[in-house]
Amino acid sequence: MGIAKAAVKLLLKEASKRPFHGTVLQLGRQGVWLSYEELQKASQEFQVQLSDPGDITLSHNLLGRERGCIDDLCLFKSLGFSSVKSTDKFGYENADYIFDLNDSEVPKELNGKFDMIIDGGTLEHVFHVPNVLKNIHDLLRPGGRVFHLSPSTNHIDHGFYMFSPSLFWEFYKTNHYLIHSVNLFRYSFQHDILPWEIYDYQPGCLEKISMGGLDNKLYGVCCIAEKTPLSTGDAIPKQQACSDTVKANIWEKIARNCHWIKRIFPSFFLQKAYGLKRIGRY
Amino acid sequence: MRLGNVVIKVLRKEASKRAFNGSLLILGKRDELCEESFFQSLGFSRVTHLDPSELDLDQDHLSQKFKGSFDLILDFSALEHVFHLPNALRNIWKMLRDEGRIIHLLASANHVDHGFYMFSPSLFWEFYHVNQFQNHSMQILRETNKKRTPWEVYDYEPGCLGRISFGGLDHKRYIVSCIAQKSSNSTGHIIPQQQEYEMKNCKTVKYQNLKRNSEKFPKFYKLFKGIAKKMLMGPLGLKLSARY
Repeated sequence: MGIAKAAVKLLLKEASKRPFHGTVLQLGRQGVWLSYEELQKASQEFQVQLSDPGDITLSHNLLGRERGCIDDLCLFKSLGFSSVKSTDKFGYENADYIFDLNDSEVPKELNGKFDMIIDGGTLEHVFHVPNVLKNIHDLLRPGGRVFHLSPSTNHIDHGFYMFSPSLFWEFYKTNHYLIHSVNLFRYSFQHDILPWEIYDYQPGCLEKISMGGLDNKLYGVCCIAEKTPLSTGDAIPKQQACSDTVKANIWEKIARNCHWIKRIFPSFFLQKAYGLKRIGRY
Repeated sequence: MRLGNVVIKVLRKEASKRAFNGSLLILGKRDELCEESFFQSLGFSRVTHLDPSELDLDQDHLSQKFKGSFDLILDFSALEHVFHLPNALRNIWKMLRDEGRIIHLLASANHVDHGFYMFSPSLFWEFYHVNQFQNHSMQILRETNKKRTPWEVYDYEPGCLGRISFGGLDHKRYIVSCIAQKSSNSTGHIIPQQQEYEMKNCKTVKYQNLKRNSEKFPKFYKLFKGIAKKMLMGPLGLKLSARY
C-alpha cells in the first residue's frame, strides 16, 4: 500500500496529541507518496513542529522520484524519530533486519527495542496473523505504539486477508493495550492523489452494513494502539455479538428500499443512515 | 437467494463428482442451514453439527474424540469468526480422515465487521497447495440480487483476479468456496507464502480484440471502456461457470 498523503496525515494527527520520539521499525520498507513541501503543508494543518531530517532524500522508487516524493528515512526523521529501522523477509529492499514474521519468535536482541512499529500494508500478506501480532508485541517497549494501515473490503487477492476493524479492536482490547484510534477509511483507486474519507469506528457501528452494505470504493482500516506494562501478546479474542438493535431511522429505510439512491450518495448514507461519524477528508 | 440454498447446490455438485459416505461435521450457525434429512439423503450416515462456541478451534490441542473421525467437514461461515486461523486449519486437518474432504464457504469482499477476516481465495489455494491436499477447486460466488435471483459462480485460478485486486469489485457481496481432499501425506502446519502470479489465461479473445481496437480508436475506447468491459466480461472479468 505504501504511505500516501492521507496516511501521513493520520500519523500527524497522532503526533499532534502524543509526539513521536525514539526508534521506529517498519515492517517492510514503505514507499512514501508525498513531497517535502506537501509534508510541511500538512504539518501546519495539524500544528505539528517537524524536526530537521538532515538532508532531504528522494524515494528509491522510480515513479516516486519523478514526482519528487521523499523516502521513508526522511519522512520518519521529520516526524520526530531519531532512528529509522526496517525489517523484511527478503533482503532486496536493504532492510536492516531480515527475519520472517510468521515465526513464533523474533531475534532476541530486538526484544522491546522500538517505540513505534509501522505496518503499512504488510500484515495481510503474512499467513500467520496471530504470530505477527505477537511479534509486534515483543518488539515494542512498554509505552510504544503500533500503527496498522490494513486493507479492508474490495482488496480481493491483494493479500491473503482483508481485515475487519473489529479484529484490531478486539485483539488490542483483549490484550490490554490502550487503543488510541481505530478508523475506517474510504478511498479510491488513485490513493496517492485523491483524498480519503476517514470514519471513526466504534464496536457494533458497522453491524447493519456487514452483509454487503458498502459500495465499490476501496476501504481500509487504520489502528493505533499503545502497549502498556500490563499488555500481553497472545490472548485470543472472541468476537462479540452486538445485540442492541437501534430502531431504523428514515434514512436507513430509504437506503434499504432504494439501493440506487444509496449508490449515488454513499458517504451521506454512511453517516445519516448507519451512524458512522466522519472525522474528515485527508 | 438464501445462502442455505447455495450450500445445497455446492454439496449436490460435489456429490455428483465423488459420492459421499460416512460422517459429516458441520461448523457454523445452526439456524441458516437445511435439515438433517437432506444430508442423510446425500449418503451420510452420521451428521454432527457444532457451533463455533461448542468447539474451540482457536486452541492448539483438540479433544481425542474428534481426531480423524470425519469424511466431510462443511465449514459454513465459521472460520471468519475464529481469530487463530492457522490453528483452526490445523484442527480441521486433524479432524479429517484420510481421503476426507473439506468444503469452505466463507465471507470474502464486502463483509466488513461480519467476522474478523474477509478471505482472499489465494489464502486457501496456497495453504492447501503447500500442505499437499488433492483435487482442490475454488470458486468465487457473487450475490446478484437479494432473495430473488441465484448467486453467480466463477471458477478461480491463481492470478486470475490480479487485474481487479485493488478496488475492482462492485457493491455486491462475495463469497469464497473451496473444496480440498486430504491425502495420506497431507500436512496441516506448513506456512504458505504469497506468490506473485502473473495473470493467466483469463483474458478471452474478445477482450484482447477490444484492447487491439483501443489502439486504433483511443478516444472511443476510453469513453466506453468501462461499459464495454463489463458487458463482455462480466463484473469480475471471468467466465461465468454456473448459477447457484
